[in-house]
Amino acid sequence: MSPSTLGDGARTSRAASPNPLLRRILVTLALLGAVVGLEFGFDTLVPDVALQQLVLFALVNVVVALSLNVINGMAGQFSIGHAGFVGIGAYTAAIVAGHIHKALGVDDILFSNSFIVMPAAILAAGGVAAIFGLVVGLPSLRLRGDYLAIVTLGFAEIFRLVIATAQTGGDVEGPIAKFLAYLGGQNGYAGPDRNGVPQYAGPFWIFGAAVVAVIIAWRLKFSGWGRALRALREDEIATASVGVDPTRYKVTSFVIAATGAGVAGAMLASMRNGNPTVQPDQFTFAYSFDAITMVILGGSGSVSGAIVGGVFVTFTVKMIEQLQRFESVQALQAAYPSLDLNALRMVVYASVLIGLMILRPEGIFGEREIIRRKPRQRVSHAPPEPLPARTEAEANPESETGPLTGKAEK
Amino acid sequence: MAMKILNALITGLAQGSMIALVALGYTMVYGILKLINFAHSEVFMMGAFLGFFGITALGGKDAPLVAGVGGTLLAMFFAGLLGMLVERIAYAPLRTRGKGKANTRITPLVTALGMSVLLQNLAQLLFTAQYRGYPQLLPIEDTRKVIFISAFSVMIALQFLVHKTWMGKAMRALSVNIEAARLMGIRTSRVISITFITGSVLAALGAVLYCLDQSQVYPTMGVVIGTRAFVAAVIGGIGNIPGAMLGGLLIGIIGEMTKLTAYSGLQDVLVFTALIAVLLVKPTGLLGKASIEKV
Repeated sequence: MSPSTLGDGARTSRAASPNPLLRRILVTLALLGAVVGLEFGFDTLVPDVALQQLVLFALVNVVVALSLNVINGMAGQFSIGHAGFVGIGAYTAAIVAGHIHKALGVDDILFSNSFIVMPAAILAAGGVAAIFGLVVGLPSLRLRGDYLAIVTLGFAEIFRLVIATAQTGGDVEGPIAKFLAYLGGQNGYAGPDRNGVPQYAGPFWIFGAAVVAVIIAWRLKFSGWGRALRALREDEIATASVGVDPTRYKVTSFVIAATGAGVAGAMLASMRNGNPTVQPDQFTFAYSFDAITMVILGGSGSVSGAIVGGVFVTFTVKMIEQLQRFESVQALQAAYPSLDLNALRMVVYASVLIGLMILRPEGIFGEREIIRRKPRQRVSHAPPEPLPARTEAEANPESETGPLTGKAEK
Repeated sequence: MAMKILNALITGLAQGSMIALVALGYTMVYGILKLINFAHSEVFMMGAFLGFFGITALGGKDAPLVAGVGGTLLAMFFAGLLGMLVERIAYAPLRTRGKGKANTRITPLVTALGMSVLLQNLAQLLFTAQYRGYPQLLPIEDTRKVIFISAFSVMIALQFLVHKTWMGKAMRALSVNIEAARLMGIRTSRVISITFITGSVLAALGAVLYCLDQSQVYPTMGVVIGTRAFVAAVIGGIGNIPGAMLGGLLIGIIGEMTKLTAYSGLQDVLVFTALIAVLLVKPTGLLGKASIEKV
């Protein structure tokens, strides 16, 4: 087969499938229509407010899981303080959204105004979380070994403790202490006038964020960048030897993960009908551990796994909350005061995680996806040049430009 | 003011020697397995609970000597058992499995973290989340002296164990090269078990001493102390036993000194900043030696 027929064959197969650009635009429009439709149709689709909450919270957790998946699954670095970055995003977004809402001067939460508030809140939350991610990630990812784990753990715990234990009453001195007092300590931050953070993130923003996060995670995984990252995970030294800078890739992926967590935090802070205050207790180690469970259970490195894990973990968490409302459960708790269902859930999760690591360390999906990605060949229009049978140096060994005779002698 | 600083220094040394006892467990396990044993802080917590129950059962305030010594020994014994159990359940099964599968690097970290969460919530279920005070066995000044003396004698004993006994030699051999040590006829899994037991026993001792001084036991107490102890191990040079002691003392003194300033609540922020600074400037720690990684 001559090169030209090869090219023709490829071209006909390209023509058979619809124009990729057109397809991409159509898919984008369809997704956009779907999210806008959800914004107005969500109430009729899911009439129960508790269930609405559950769905929105599950989607936020999907974003959390997808972002953690970048660093834990794809890069193979163990970050266990993801709740800290979600918390930073939530606080930042709450402050930004609260102040813009106040400046707009409209008391109602209007959908049109959300296009002013939410982009600013998301950008600020993602940006601040990214900066913290860089500060935390750079020193610990420069080194081999598992320093990132302990640094992120310490970071998240300290972030929470500093806010929770800040002195809020009486006179506080110094700009840091004043700022911490402004954040409200244990009671949480409830907007500039203490009447609640404006809840602009309706289904449009939360579904939209989840869809964008899925697309970004998918593109990242199958990009050259994602491949380099996975190569680094398998063997850092071998990958570094072919020109991939380990520190740069690891730090970048960590900053991406932190940004994603920040955006998820922004959604959490301004979720419609959600908690109107941002409290430090929302971002305990238990939440970080839930995020890890989402990623590991589903299969580290798998986008579908992170989605399934995120939804599954959210539903079980909420189920426990629902269970606690039953009378029989309450009677049982009265009889055994030490029966803490949430602690029981954590015990079960931890046992499952340990068992999973021993029996099936790759998680449910491993690195596979539910939808198989079709291998697509990039076709260049020019026929490929045949490889020369002999290199230039072999062809005329007397040539002074040959690699062995080298110019170094000159 | 000078008196205040001196007092803070003494309290800091007592605090630091307890942190050092916990840090030793991290550093010994890391030295051999290159693994952060997240469950170590929970073994510390469990040790504190065991000590609490032991001391109360043996008479508490009425018989300070019997209760103190007996309770501490009881806590050390059971914590050692717990440490061995943790290793057998969560780490040993992973060690025997071959490499080559994706993500083998983070699997031991996940089980370590899982074990930590498991123990912490188990404690919550068994002992409830309430705070419990230790019985005051000695006046506070004497407690500090006891802490300091017992911590230091244990550290000297540990140095003896590591440098003068066959088992210590085996531990050091494992930390250099596990495979080679196995070929030399060392039963590696037994040595690893003993390392975990030693670390856990030290953590339990540290826990009882800590509670005698600070007098509160609760299921999540391990997190803060665990982080401080790990930072101490890194500052001293992780894998290095005298380094962990030095790091622990430093953290203790830094902590007490910050209490003198207006920012007493930011003690852990400072500890954390110290960790970042050490990782940036001298990642091998104060006493650690840089090693070249061979492929």
